[in-house]
Amino acid sequence: MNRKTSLLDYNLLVPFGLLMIVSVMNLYSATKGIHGVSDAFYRQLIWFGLGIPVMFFFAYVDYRMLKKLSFAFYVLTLVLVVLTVIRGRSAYGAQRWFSLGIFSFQPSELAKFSILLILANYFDDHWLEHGFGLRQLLVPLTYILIPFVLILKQPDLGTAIIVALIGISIILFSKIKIRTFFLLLTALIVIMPVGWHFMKGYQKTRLLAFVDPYKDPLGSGYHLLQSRIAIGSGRLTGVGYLKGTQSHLNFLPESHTDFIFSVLAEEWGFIGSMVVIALFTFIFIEGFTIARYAKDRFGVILAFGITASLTLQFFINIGMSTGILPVVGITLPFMSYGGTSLLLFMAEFGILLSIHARRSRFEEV
Amino acid sequence: MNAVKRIHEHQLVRLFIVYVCIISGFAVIVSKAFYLEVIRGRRYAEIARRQYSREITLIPARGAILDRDGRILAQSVLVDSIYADPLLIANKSRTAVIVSRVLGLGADETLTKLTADRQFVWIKRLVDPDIARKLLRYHLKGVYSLREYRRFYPDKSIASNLLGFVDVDSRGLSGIELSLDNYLHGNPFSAVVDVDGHNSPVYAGDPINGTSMSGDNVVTTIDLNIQFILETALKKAVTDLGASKGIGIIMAPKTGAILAMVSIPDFNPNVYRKFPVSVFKDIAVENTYEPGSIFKPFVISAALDAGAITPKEEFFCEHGHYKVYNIVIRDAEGDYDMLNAGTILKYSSNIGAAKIGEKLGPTTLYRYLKEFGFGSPTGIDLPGESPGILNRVDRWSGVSIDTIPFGQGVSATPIQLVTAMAAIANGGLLVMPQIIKEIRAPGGNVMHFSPVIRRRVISPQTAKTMTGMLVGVVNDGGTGVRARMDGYTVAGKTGTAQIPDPKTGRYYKNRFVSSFLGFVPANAPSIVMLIMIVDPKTDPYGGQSAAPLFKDVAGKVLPYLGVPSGLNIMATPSSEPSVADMAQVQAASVTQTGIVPDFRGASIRTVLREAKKAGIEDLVIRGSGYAVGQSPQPYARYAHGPVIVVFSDSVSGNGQEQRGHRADVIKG
Repeated sequence: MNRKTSLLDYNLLVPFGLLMIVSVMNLYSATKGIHGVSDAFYRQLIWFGLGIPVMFFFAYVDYRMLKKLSFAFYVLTLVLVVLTVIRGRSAYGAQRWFSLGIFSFQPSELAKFSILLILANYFDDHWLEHGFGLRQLLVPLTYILIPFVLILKQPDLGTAIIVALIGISIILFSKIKIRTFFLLLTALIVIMPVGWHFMKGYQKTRLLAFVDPYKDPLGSGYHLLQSRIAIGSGRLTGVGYLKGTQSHLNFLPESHTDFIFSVLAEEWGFIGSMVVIALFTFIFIEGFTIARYAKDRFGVILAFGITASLTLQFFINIGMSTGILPVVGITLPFMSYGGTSLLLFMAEFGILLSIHARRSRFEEV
Repeated sequence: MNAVKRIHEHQLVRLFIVYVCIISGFAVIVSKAFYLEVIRGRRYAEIARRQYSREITLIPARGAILDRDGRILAQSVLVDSIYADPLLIANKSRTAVIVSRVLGLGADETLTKLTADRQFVWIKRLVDPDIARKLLRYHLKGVYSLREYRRFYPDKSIASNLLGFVDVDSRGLSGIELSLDNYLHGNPFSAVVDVDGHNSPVYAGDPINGTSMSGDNVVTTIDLNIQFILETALKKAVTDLGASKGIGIIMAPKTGAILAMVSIPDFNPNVYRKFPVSVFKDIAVENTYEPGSIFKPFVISAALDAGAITPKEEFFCEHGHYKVYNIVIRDAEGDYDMLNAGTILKYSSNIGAAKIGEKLGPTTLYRYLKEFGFGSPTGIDLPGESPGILNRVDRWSGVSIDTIPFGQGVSATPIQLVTAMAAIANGGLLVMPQIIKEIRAPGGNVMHFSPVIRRRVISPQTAKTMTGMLVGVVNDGGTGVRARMDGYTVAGKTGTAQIPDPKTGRYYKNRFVSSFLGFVPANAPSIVMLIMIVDPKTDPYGGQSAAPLFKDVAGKVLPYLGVPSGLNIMATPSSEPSVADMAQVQAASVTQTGIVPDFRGASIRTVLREAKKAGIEDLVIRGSGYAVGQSPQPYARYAHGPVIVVFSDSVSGNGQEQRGHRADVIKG
């Protein structure tokens, strides 16, 4: 297809479409119990249905109007997060949900988007040719720190980490002085043990379980081991669609959310996993390419931020499922059950399409 | 334009770094996935299989326990157990409200179960099918039922000590459930099923089919109606007399078939956990008692049979005070001078019995008592049977030969006493007590248990003489006069045994076991019955408490069995009973063959009309009022002899009424 003329980016849309087909099939399997499919599956279908017009809306609208909205959106997100902490619905011991009729809404998901939006806005407005020093980074770091602390309070370690990582990667992507980079790195290393001290008991046991899951195979190491068993038992070609015992017989907890990849790997095997990973790879490469060809600085940073946020979550989730990283509740974009995040991802996708459609004509540069 | 260009130049480096990062990230993920799925895949697949496959043992339907006519005493029924798959329930609070209301559970407790993060939780097990159906009619998503077997005892406490009960795995823990567990239990079979992450088997319908695997049905010799009569009467007596225990056994002497066996206190085996462990014992075979005076007939039978004494021989009864070595034997009821064997039994003279014992001598007495079955288990198919205590003769003390004849220094189980008395009733033949009539395998094979005659203990002549003496006990002036019945000649013996204090070894002054052991009708015994009342607060003498109970129970059981009353020509003790007389009566009139109608409950006029219709010419009417019993039994084919119908004014002894009552019990 012709990159110069097409408005819609088929390099993005084709893998996305395929991924959504896999996603629906896989979620059906993950939510299917002994007596039928749980309502979660149908709710997710509704979210998906809502997502398509949202995606095309954002693709149609000029992404630059988001610049003006970024601060208001950031404040709104903070207010909602604070409200959730105060009087949200509790699920799994954490207040992450905000009930809106039959659907629950998760403001911390919103924070992932708000942070990249406001940082893209900030760096666009305060661009420094020679890179940012520590003093210039004070404002963006504060932008990151506020939602980070609030979400940590919920407590939702995973999302807090993602928000921080999105923020940091945007800072790194923009210009930062080498000296400042090493200064921040040192600070981070110093802070880590302190952070350990402030972690919740279950968060600590999760980290310890990651180091040695066999220490407590029925307790804290259970998720990790069951996920490994699920993935491993898929072998090369998988046990077959809807035949995975790990998820259908309830060995694998959270199989439709955090461990959705394990369901896929069990039923479709190594080959199936590779296909899905490849689809994601196409999307990521194309996302970064869109950043490269964006018309303006805001578009560059925004496209980068969106793609980076997807990539980070993808890596953390798969890393968690395969046992490369500790279990922190991060879902797999587009694949896991979760209405708020699906809707947001699709909106972000629409923005990517919008940036692409309004791309720079100086591609040869 | 230039600015944008510069941005891109600057970002290109960074994007290159990003690409490198992504590619190395993918390399890590892909290699890890390759390691897990391809290199270690076989091992993980094996772990997964071990996780979800379980070889479980499926328990088939346990066989039923039936009475001799096929009425159900214990049965395994399919009931519904309600469970939920909480992950499928969208509106948990609404579901919890409905479920808890229909099943009668706490709403909060139910909601907690419904919010569990798993696919299988029990809501309530073993639910009445009607209630389960009512709940399932709501079609609540995520709420289901599956069928399980539950042991059900329709008559609750009736025959509970005899039947026993089963645990949750359907294994018998006491009574017939235990002794015949191997037959009732069936053949558990193994199956590989999938289990979920909570180790619950994944049910997809009824877990147990395969009826051929189910256990055998056990047909007992018990007659549910007789059991009911005995149990009701005994329970009332134990309560009225403030006694601690009550034991009753009814046996058909010729076959040894136990028609009823009662231990009070009893329990409801449907809910056995609510009862103390102590009530589960079947005290009729497990506990031993010093029999007291009901032991005298066996000693006197031995003396007569051995020829040591004659029926006419008289013994000096020491005027109620007989000192032997260091003990004094007393007669409770009076100061007797000279008594013969018959009057020793009639007045229950301990001194007389002791004198007979002395005359017989320890060796012979021991041999006869062994022959009667004392000191050895009877071999009845019930668990925990005790052999009783009959010391070997070389271990007898100097006074044993004086005390054993009146039932002290020896102990016996109630079943041993009944079996020994049945030997006298049988003309001297000892039979094995039988509780099992048939075992019916599901395939149709039936195992019959034939009556077992163990041995001859005493001669027919001795048995006849002894029967005459036992009839005397129940006649005017005898200790057992309150067991005397209208229309039936009772042979029996009262007993009032002192209870020994286990701490001191001495007897309590005021605690007794009151008993009556006898058979009826004396000349052609249909039943041998033992009534034992342990430690009654009032009426301690066997003649006061146990004898009337014997009479009441026999008064209902005999008409029910269709035993002709008033037929006995042996109304007085002077004339000895003769089995031959009965045979002559039967041979006397021969009528045509036919089917005997069921007369019970009918008036005399109806009976006459029905009998004529049935072509019965030789009809014998006994008594007045309504028919309570008949011989031959209803629907029997008759060839010879008269058809006897017994009438009674009292409705309480009515067979029909009795049956009606039973039906109520089953319904309730």
